[in-house]
Amino acid sequence: MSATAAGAARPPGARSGWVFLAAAAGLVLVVYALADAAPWLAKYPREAAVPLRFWISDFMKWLINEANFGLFTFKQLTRSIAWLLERPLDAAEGLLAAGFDLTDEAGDVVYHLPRLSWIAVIGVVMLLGLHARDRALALLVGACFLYLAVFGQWDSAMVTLSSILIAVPFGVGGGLLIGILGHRSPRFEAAITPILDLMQTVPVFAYLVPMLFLFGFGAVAAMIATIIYAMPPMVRCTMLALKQVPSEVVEFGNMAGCSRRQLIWRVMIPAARSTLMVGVNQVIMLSLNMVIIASMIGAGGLGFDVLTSLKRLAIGKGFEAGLAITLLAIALDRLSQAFAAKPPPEHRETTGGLIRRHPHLALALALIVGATLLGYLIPAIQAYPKDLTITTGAVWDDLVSYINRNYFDQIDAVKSWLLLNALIPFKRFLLSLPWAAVVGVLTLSGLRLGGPRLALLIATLALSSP
Amino acid sequence: MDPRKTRPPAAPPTGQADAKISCEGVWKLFGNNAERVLAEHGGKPTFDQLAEAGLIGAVRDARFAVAEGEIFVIMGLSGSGKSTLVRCLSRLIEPTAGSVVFEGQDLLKASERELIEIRRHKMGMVFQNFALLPHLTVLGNVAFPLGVQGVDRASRERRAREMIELVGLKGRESYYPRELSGGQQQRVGIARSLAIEPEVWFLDEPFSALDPLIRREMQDEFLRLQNVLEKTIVFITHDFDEAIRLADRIAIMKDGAIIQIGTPEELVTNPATDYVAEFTREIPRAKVLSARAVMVPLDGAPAPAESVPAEAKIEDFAARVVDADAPLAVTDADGAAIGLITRAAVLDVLVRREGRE
Repeated sequence: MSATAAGAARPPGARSGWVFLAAAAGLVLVVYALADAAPWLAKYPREAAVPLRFWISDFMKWLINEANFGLFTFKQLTRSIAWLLERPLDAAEGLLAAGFDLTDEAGDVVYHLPRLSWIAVIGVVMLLGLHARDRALALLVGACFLYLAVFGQWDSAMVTLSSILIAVPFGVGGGLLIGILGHRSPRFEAAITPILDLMQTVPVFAYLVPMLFLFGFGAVAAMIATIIYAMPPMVRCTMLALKQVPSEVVEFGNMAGCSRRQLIWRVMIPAARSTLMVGVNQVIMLSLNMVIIASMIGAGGLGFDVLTSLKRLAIGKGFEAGLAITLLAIALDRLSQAFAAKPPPEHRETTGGLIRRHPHLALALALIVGATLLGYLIPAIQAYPKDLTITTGAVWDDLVSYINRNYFDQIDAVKSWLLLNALIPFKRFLLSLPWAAVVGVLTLSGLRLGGPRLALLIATLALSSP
Repeated sequence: MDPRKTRPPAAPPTGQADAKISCEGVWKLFGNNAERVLAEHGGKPTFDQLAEAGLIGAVRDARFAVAEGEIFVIMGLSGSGKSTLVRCLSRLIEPTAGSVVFEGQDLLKASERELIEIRRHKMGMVFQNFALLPHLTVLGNVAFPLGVQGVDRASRERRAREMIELVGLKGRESYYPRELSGGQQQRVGIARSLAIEPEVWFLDEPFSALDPLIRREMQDEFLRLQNVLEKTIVFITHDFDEAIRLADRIAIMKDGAIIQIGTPEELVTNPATDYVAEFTREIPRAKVLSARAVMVPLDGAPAPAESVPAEAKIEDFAARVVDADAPLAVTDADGAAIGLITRAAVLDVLVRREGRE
């Protein structure tokens, strides 16, 4: 039955391909033919453009200056969300990057508690690698982190890492909750699917400005932008994972007398673990994607380094920071993938104390405590010694200037040729197309590829772009 | 020794009143406007009428009653609706029409909260593919239904250990499901379903995913457990041999409808349709037929001294009759002679001449 339904919904066969082409060609010809009689078909009349941007600006102004929930204003709400998110972010940054200042009643710093020693951090990520899979993974992530220390990227990398460590749980948790709601109510799923599409396709720059307005410039605004950008795949993965739980397992949960909450949290989520971990991995990778962009609205760390290098044309420095982001991404990606692929546990003889049962955890704790204590005696254990950092920045700078000096003419020739012979003509061609024909052809394509609904969607979107 | 011999078969209930669980006029139709179509045809559309309306009649007008302590087997080939029917009994699937009465209460009228309570305390279910939770140990899986009820950790683990020992998995408490063989996993499934001491025990093709040797072993295990526990059981299978081996009574389903309900002996001696007869043809009759079925009347003759009980299966006393010089007496439950059993009658059954004419 479902097979025939799918057959009916499928776009018609090869014969109609010709019909479609003929219709598209006909449409274009008609528009061209009418161009003289009805010039508005060729150039979209300016008066008819919907002043959406003014509406949005007005709405934002209203939201920030006037919106009010009675007890508090909208701005107060967003600022308090920002304040809430700032607590864990500060804690993570303190732990990894800045250390903590202990103050007395007067607010004076009485003691500075140092951040985690670089050796402890590298040791912990290696233990994570070992726990998730094997020694090879431990060596890989260890090497990635060692690069950060040796090439002087440590401080920035830890700022970036701390923002990721906080953004990811929010992205995962939020995505999980929304996904569960979507799973429970098909109507909710239908409502959020286009929103998810939108979140994933709207250019990130477009919502950086509203973020600034609502949450202020700083690491928190950057983190919220990151969460918004990284959450959609988690929502989708959650809905998919819950759908894929074997029906017998769900039936067992029901027969055991699970309430709806027990069914979700104690039966379905654990049973869906491996697909959910794919979502977690996606959230981590997308969060790292945002590192550079988010630095424009106040995220520090590696992204900020790349951004400033870009502004100053400090090619070598930018390259090193960029490579650091890549290595951080590789390490986190491999780690999370290894955790995702980790088979369910096997039984263990539970004799022995906590240390025997959780050797990796015990070792990690010992390492942190030991490195912190030793760090007081030997500064090189606390922070990687500055004298030993290597920088390759100068090499890259020299290389680029060498290329510029000796091959400028060749490169410039290629650039000019591309610009004059390909890009500019193509741009002219696109601009000269009558808007009505473009909208028409796009709509026809939508009809052919996805049926009337897609056609309508495309027509609306295409019409809204002039 | 056949483990079932130690347990007298439960008497079939005479109606809904003395049944543990029963259903009446249960329909489950898949497709659009199922309820309207059902009403249009006076609540009893035929197979063809359903097909015409584009509906699939997964369960059509099912009606039966299961007595306390009875093993009631629903047997049918795949697509016959047996799995849907057993899910209607626990409302895992909402029937389109009908009533399901469990301990005097109509389950289809129970609220969600009542239903959760009934399932938590009175129903257990075993699944074809075990449906174990991969992230929990054997102990965790068996204790899970008790945890859902809110039983404290110490009590539920004590109870779970008892159940694990009962199904013969002692020593494997800390193993995870994927470390166990299929038969062991299903033992976990059985222990888990029994942990809450259910009043009614649903088994949905519990042994179908196991290989034949293990299946046989698990059937024996199942009968051994039932001798101890005396649960009210609804057992689903597509295997007629399994049904004959385990059932007090069997319901045979085809295309969503129950076509015959009876004891294994009744089905073999008196199949309602050719479809039922087809299943019974290959069944060794000596295992199914009792002395009562092949005895001849006494006709006033004096009863011989040697006797067999009327309910005994031929397989169990065939050697005695064949070796004896004279016919044996058949005695009822009170020990009174009610008939004679001859060597010829037993041989007919053994060489499969009986009931073929």
